[in-house]
Amino acid sequence: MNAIAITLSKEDIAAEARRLGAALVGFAPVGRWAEHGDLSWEFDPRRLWPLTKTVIAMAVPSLLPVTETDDAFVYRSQYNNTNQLLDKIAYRLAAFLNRNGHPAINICRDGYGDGVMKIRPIAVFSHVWAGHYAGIGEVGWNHCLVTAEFGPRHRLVSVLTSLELEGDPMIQEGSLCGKCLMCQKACLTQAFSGDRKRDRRSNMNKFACFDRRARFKTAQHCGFCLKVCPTGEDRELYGTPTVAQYLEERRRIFAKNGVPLDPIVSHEP
Amino acid sequence: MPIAATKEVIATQARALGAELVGFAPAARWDKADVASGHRPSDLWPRARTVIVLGVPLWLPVVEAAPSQLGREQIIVTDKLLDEAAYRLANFLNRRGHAAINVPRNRAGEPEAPAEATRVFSHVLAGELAGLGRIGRNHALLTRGYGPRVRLVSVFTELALDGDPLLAESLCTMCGNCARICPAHALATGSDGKSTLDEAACFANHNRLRAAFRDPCGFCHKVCPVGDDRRLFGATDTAVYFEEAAALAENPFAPRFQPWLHIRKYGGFPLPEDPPSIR
Repeated sequence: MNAIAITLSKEDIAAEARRLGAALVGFAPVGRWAEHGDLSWEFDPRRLWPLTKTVIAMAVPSLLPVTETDDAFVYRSQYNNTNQLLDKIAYRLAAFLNRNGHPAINICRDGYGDGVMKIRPIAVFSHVWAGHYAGIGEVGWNHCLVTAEFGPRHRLVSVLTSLELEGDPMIQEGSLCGKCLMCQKACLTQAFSGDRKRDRRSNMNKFACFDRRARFKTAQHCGFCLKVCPTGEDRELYGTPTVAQYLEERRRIFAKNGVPLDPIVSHEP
Repeated sequence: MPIAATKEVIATQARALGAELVGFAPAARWDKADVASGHRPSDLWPRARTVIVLGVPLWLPVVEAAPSQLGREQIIVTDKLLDEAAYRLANFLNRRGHAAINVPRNRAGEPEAPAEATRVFSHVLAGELAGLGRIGRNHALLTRGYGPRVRLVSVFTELALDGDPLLAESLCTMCGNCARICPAHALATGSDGKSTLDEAACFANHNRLRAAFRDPCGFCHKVCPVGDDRRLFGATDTAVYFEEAAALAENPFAPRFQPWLHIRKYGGFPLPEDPPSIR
């Protein structure tokens, strides 16, 4: 640890993040949380750590062909592996900043103890909103961060630092999520609802989303709202520009599990 | 033909793999230290000539919010990082023709680990013998940079390397903060004046927190005044930890403590000691 801080530019920090494995890196001045008011003060980064001046958001992609596989085990492995990679990247980026005299802490992937999600499905910090304010993407109808590169097919992590850095420009509203509602239509549990003329994003019933494990023996690790999103350069890379095929797959999953198509699900916990 | 590997080359590789602290201890140092038979490097692996100790810090703002699920994640992430760095450093040495093994992080305090299995090798003692710090009254390795807020792992190699100088002076100020704050009352002073640790009491508290996904406790780490990290994070006042309970009883929304309460509230189950405002 250096008693005298070594000057680091945004470029230095972003280069270190990429060297450690991050695919997308963005910087969010902490004032954006209060300025935009999407979250209550309780979820302002300063509530977690009062010295925070900048939030560094980082993402790694979830590879589309794995995300769209109906072998839940393969997708779950990808999910766990990318989370572990992100945690390591974020810890080491915080160590890099601290070593150079700039206080920083990494916020680990939002783990929940088994069963905690059922009583309080809220994380201590939202990496999705951090990505939104850092200009990595736009929070979409499906409550995921929709990015130009990977649509919502990526995982996120954050580092808080007391170093003041210039913010990256935010994504213009509506430019990445066109509210096509494919995520709402494809969802196995009807977790999304709302009026696209009135609402910026859907209401999401997290309890309905968790409920899928009890209702579907297959599709334990679901990801329909991710793979169905038409946004993302990865669709072209993998030669899967269309999304209608997922609605057909959805019908097959209901039939395979003996669940009536489009059941009315309770939206109470 | 083995390829030469100097201390500098090995330390540089360890840092590239993520270690923030690196120290070297000749295995012979264990013979002079007060170590029970069966717990020396040569007891685990007779060819061990040098022990390379790697360390990574824990961030004080997370440590002092314990018990929390975020604190639990911080331990999981740093332990994984250390185990991977140690394994890869052992392979780095093996590739160059110098036999080496890594001794993974132990699982002390985990319910499935029998007590004796947790004591095969002490990374804390290894850290002291590698000159990374000195063992304090709280039985943890106190370092200049981060006090006791470090995680450690060890690599054994048959390569003979010079040991790093031991820290001559104790870093522990004997302030007694750790013994006073310990919720398990596990730290005491024996008749010989040495600090004693009631491991069963410490583990029982650890397992209680673990059941709520909010281990570890770490109170004896957060209260330690040693460490440059206290200045870095602007948290040099350790009296605040002793004032917390009374201050929150008077005003559950005392601003000074809200960050810790926020971190405790999410991701794990409630604990009896939580104030009503976060249940």
